[in-house]
Amino acid sequence: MASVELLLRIVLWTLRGVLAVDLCLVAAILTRRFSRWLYYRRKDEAVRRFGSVIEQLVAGKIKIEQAVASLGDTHSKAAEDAVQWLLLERLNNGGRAEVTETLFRLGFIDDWAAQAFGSRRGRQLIAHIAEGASLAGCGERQFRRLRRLRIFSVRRAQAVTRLGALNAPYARVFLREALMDPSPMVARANIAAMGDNREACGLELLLELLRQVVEGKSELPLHSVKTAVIRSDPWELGPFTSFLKDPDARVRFVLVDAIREIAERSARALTASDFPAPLCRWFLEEGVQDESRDVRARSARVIRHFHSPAASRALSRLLLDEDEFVRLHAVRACADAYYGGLMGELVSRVRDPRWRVREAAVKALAAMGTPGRERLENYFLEASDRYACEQLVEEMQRAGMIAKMLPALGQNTPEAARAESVCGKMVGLGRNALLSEVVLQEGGRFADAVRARLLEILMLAPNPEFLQALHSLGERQDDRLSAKAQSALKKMAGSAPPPAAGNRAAHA
Amino acid sequence: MHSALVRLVYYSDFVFLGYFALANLGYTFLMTLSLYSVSLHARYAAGRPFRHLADSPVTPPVSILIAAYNERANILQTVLSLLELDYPEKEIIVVDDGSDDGTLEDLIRQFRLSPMDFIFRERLKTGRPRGIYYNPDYPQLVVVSVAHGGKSRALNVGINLARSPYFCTVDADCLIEREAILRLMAAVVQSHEAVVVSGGIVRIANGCQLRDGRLEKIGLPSSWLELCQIVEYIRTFMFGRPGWNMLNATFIASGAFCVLHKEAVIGAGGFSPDTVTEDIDVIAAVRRFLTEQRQKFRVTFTSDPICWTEAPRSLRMLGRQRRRWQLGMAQTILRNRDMILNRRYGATGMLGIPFHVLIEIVGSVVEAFGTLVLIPLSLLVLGTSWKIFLLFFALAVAYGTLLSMASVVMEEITLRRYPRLKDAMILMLFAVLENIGYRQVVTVYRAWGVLQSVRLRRHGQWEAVKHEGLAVGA
Repeated sequence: MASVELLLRIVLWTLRGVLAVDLCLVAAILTRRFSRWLYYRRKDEAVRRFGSVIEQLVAGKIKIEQAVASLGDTHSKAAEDAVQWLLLERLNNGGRAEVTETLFRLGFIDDWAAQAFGSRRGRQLIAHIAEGASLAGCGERQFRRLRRLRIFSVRRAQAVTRLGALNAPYARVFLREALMDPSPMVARANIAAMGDNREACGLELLLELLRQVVEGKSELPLHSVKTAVIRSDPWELGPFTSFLKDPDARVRFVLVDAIREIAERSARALTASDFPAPLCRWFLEEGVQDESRDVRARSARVIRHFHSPAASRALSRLLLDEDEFVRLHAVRACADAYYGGLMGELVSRVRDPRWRVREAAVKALAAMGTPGRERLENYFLEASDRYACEQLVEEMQRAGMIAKMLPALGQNTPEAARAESVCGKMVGLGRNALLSEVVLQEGGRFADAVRARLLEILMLAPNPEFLQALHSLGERQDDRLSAKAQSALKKMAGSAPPPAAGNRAAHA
Repeated sequence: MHSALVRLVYYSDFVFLGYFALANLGYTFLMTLSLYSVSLHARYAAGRPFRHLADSPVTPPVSILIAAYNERANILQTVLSLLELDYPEKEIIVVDDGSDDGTLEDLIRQFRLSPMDFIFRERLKTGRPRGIYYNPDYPQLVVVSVAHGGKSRALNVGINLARSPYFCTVDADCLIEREAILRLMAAVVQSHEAVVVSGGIVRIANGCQLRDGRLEKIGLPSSWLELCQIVEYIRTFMFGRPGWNMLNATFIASGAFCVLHKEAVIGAGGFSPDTVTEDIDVIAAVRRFLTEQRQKFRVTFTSDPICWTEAPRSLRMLGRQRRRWQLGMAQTILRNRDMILNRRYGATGMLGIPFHVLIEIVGSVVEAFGTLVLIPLSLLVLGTSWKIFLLFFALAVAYGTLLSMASVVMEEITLRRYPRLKDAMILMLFAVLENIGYRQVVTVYRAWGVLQSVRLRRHGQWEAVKHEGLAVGA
């Protein structure tokens, strides 16, 4: 009985404890709400107060000393954060040197360096930057395993992000120092900062990191390093040439792929003169005949940006590569009006034994504008390969080509004749879902004459889908095509049943 | 006879108490891990490290798959929200699973879709779709119509049509926050290991106001049932899954919002129609497939990409939903029972699945049995004092309250999706109230689901939970 009482007493005390914690949690919410409200009120106030000072500093209207005197007059954490935020926002929008100097004089850089590298090492780094003091190597950091833990990394990662955004003389030192940090989170932040601040970090360093990642010597995620690398512009790519001589095919592949991304994210159309000449030469002479199919394939996608006769010749060669994957990328590379001269080769790729290549060839031709689309339609009308034709139908529908050609139906023009032939072939292939839908759309975007002509074309090889549409049309009272549909149905009832799906093409 | 019954009840009481202690110990352990994980992630995410991912052309494309069956009430808002997503390259594939409420017609009308003859490669056996609809003006959207055949088959049709290396399953009644897929994919691309599944948080949108596929105003519903579910969801996603993720033992990721690696899923045979919760089952199947292939992989959970969904508004629908979830989990565990305590499956086999078996499956039956049978029997047969039971009941409620309240506080500190103080206080209140009545009712439904699986009673493939639609702003 005594033990039961003891148990009950324990339960009762636990209950009281839990209830006390519950009350604390309610209090925590209330306190947090209030403190956040107060914090943001003060921060907004500080933003209003100091925003103009920073504008004047960046515009060169006041000196750094004056700005520091004004901005140093903060009496709360919220105001201090506001000043930090305003200055950091300005770092990437011009005035990087002035803003960095201001941050330094306000003591923010000291704080961040201490957070990222520890107080002593932080002071050494600052002395090195500010006074040119010699900098000893940091040696093997202690507690590497502990420092890798996320719980100890978040603050360092945030500090490294801020330090990496500073003016080049500062950021360069901090970014190199952060490379020694064992934490993957800090390393990711560091790499992202390197990509954003190209003045502070040379491309060679990033390429070396990329090589280490590919070779498995670094734990950094490939995506992060690649993202940093591809923030370069095409004319900055000189350092790539020596790295492209790497004996490891995987390294060459990743580098070529990075160059492709750089070229493809460029806002304007490029030519060979936008790239360093040795790099162009490497692609046209070595890239196209690299032993690795991945390198050849990606090289095609880079070469397309050269827009030169030599590039056309190289692409033409890659279009005939023995490897399906290379042909696929070469075809995709040709999807550019400049390479109109390669249209013949592209049409031959529509007959490629591999469906991915055929699909890509159709898309490439469709992307070449009117001449490409005409070649595509001509090929579609001439081709006997069912798979290639089905692929063509899909791409022509996705690109909206069929819907664009339908209004010409029923007229006495060459476009009408071409449209009729295309529709006839589609019906023959049994690909008449879109056409049947158009026949049913009264008062839609297509005239009755177009619908009537389409109905006649669809009657060439009626399939169950179309017959359903025909019945539905025949039952309508107010549709001008219902009489035509009814007579078609009567005509069919009097003739043989429609052919089975497999025979549709032959029937057409 | 009487003495045997007394002994049985006496020992059963100990089993019940043992379960109570074990479950709460487990939850406390998970709570501690989750607290650490979620707060760290929130601090890290505050620096918005995902922007690089959005700008990078190296970010892999994602196909978003929605299987819709009679989802007319929500489907347009869902698709609109997906079209607005902040992600560099995406395609949205809606598979209408033979709805008869006009879901397909609404989609066709809204997006002016036309039937098209696209090539359909049947990598997973599904049969051919009835129609594929497309509009070149919305090149990211493809709608597929199939004869009614269940959610698993509908999703497999979507996989067959998907052109991206990853796909994200989204329920038809869900709204995804703008950066959510970006945040899910961050876990995929920033990892050293091959991440094959990446899951996020699901929240309840009842009481929120929508406009053009976006949450215009986040609020709370007035019904107690929906409020209890909101607290329950917050607790599950803040104090459960992050903990399992830290242990690398994630066994469940909500199919309402989850990114999967396409080839891994195809290799594992796609979504199986053999269980009623295909989302739980597919993760186990992928895990099995990749383990047999001796590949290194990871299943992750991230605590800030948020998907909003509509919760059941009636007790009947809630019961249906919970029975189905529990039945599905039990079916999946039964199908994969060789994974239990199997070292090949790592922390999932040694920790994750055994916990789910003991606490979620067996535990729900023990809890329901204890509440409905054991306590009354103890009172009648053993003559145990009411006070003792009341005290233990109070302790159970207080501990449950502690977990729920701590979750709400965690939400407040990290995601903070409820901006009004009044809403936060209501959630705190319901963190207490949901432990009295609601939790017991849900336990009974869960136990019912487990018993259904024991009796091998097959439910319909798609036990529909009726949605009434969310409030749309004028």
